[in-house]
Amino acid sequence: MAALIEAKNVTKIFKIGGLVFGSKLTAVDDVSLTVKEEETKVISLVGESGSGKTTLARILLGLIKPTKGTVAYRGNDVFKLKGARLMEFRKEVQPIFQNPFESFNPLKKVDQYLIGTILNYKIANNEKDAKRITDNTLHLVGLSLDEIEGKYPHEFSGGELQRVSIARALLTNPKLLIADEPVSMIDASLRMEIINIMLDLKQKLKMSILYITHDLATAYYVSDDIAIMYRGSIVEQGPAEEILTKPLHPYTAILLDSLPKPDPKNRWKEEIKLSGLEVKEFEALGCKFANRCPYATNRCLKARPPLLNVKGRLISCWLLAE
Amino acid sequence: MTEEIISIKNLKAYYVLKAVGGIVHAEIKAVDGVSMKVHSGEILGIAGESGCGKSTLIKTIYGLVEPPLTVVDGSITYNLEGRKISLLELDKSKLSKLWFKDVSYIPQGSMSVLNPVRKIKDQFFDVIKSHYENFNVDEMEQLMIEHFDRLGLPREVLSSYPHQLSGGMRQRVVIALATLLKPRVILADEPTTALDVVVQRGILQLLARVQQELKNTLVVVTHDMGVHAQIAHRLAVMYAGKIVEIGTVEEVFEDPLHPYTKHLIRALPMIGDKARRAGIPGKPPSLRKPPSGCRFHPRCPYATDMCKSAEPLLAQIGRNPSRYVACHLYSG
Repeated sequence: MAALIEAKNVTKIFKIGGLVFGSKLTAVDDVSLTVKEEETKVISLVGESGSGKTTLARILLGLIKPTKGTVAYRGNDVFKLKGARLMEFRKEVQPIFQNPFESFNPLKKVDQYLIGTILNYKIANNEKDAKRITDNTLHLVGLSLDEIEGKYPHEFSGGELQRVSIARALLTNPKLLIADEPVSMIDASLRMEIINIMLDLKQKLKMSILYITHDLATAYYVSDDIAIMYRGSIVEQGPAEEILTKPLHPYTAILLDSLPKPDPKNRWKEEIKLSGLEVKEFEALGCKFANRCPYATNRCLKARPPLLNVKGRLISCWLLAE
Repeated sequence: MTEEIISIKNLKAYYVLKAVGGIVHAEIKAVDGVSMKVHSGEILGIAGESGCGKSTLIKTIYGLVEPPLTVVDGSITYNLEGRKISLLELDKSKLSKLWFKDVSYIPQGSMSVLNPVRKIKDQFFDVIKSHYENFNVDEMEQLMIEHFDRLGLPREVLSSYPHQLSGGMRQRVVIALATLLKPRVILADEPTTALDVVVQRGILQLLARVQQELKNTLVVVTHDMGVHAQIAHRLAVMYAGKIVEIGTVEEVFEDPLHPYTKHLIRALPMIGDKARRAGIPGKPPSLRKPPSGCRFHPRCPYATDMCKSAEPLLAQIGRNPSRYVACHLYSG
């Protein structure tokens, strides 16, 4: 059976600036990622700003066409889907964005938007059924139709509106949610509520979630699998528990070590040295992390490390090539 | 006994929104009756969610009070090696003499400090010029270079424009500028919020190192409890315009007293521990019409009738001189 979503060797190069003096930026560099329908999982895509995680998410959603590589939905090229197949894809793979206030039209009542979505996708044929489905779906995120009826987006708190936007995504019975930094705009005290909703939905609805974030701690909390991105490439990928407790790639290790742990008894030991001026890591010949890697050798500077299968995880590092 | 360098008494700083004709249209009570002491030589963390008033508090401590922000009541007294200064009584020119030399402010987002069309070097000159009338350009340049070397910043940065630098480098430049004249107090508002974790760590460690070398006082405002755990000595927790708890950072993390702090700390996800974390029920209150009594009572699982009607005051707990909490549970 074909995977729900399968990205193979996806590369996206953006051209910046004019025709003559423009430069190129490789936002996503030869990334492969598979989401299988039969495995209900939360997969986290973790990276710093500029690591290409959002671009990758948009490619998987069919919103940006990759420069190289393919994305297949149930075996069919996402960028060639038409008609009923495209509709099916849009229903089964749903996005959740960072800022819920940008996902809703500020001039439209939120309940009308949800009911409109149901009618558009022909999930129900009349308004009465649409209301019933809306109410049931809102209950999954701890809200009800009564609570949101007649309200505009600005009348909600960020946490509430993000829950509504998750409910909106659930209306079409998706198999995969692609959530791009869904809690980074949310107040700290409400953040875990949203994260817990995602965990519960996975269980209740047997739905996979691709959780895109810069936050390793919440990624650890929700994920089954994790992929660590650095400057457009996945450097380490596999079971979250193992990768985050026993990192093998030097970048994953530095990231974990630099995380400000909320524990005053467990403080950073030595001072980290920050690099000087910007280096052109995107165009580096060898490993993109070599400039910052404490273990870098000559080989790391000269050639791209291969993607190796080590102890059940994929890892791109020359150190482990022996 | 630790000496106090800043003493804040019953500070009320509101955003007063006026309608046409000067009639008060609305008041946002961002800082509402804060009393607190900052000890000399400490790193004090101020924690709280967005919209709790922590940024307004630190801005007011710096003296950056511009309409619609208005100090309605209270006082801020600096004790700078014997000089007592009532900050809120100073005029603009006296404030600017104080700024950079005695107290520096590192705001959220470095671009709001750095002038985009001037080289870093020239901006450093401007600051020095505003405090020293007679100075020698070569000497000053030497001073800047030494300062950059000490902070581990490349000298090339001095001749760059802000946009040529990465976000992390700009923030380091702002720290260099803030520490150039060796002020006694540095106030930092979310100094690392938009940065990546590795850069964040570098910046925080740089701040802590400078604090140690200059033996000055650092106040750091951030919502990120991890940052406080890593660098703060003492921690004050704010909720809806008020300080609800103070303690050493170890005390607050190990034995949080206020129900809000308890929730906040228990909700923190940690790598290596998958136990379920609960969010705090309800939502942060509006600062326009804050709840009566204890402002946390609508969300508090222990709230009683007293919590709805009477406001709990920040009071010392037991005999521990470092521990304060504003909660009726502890006033019995």
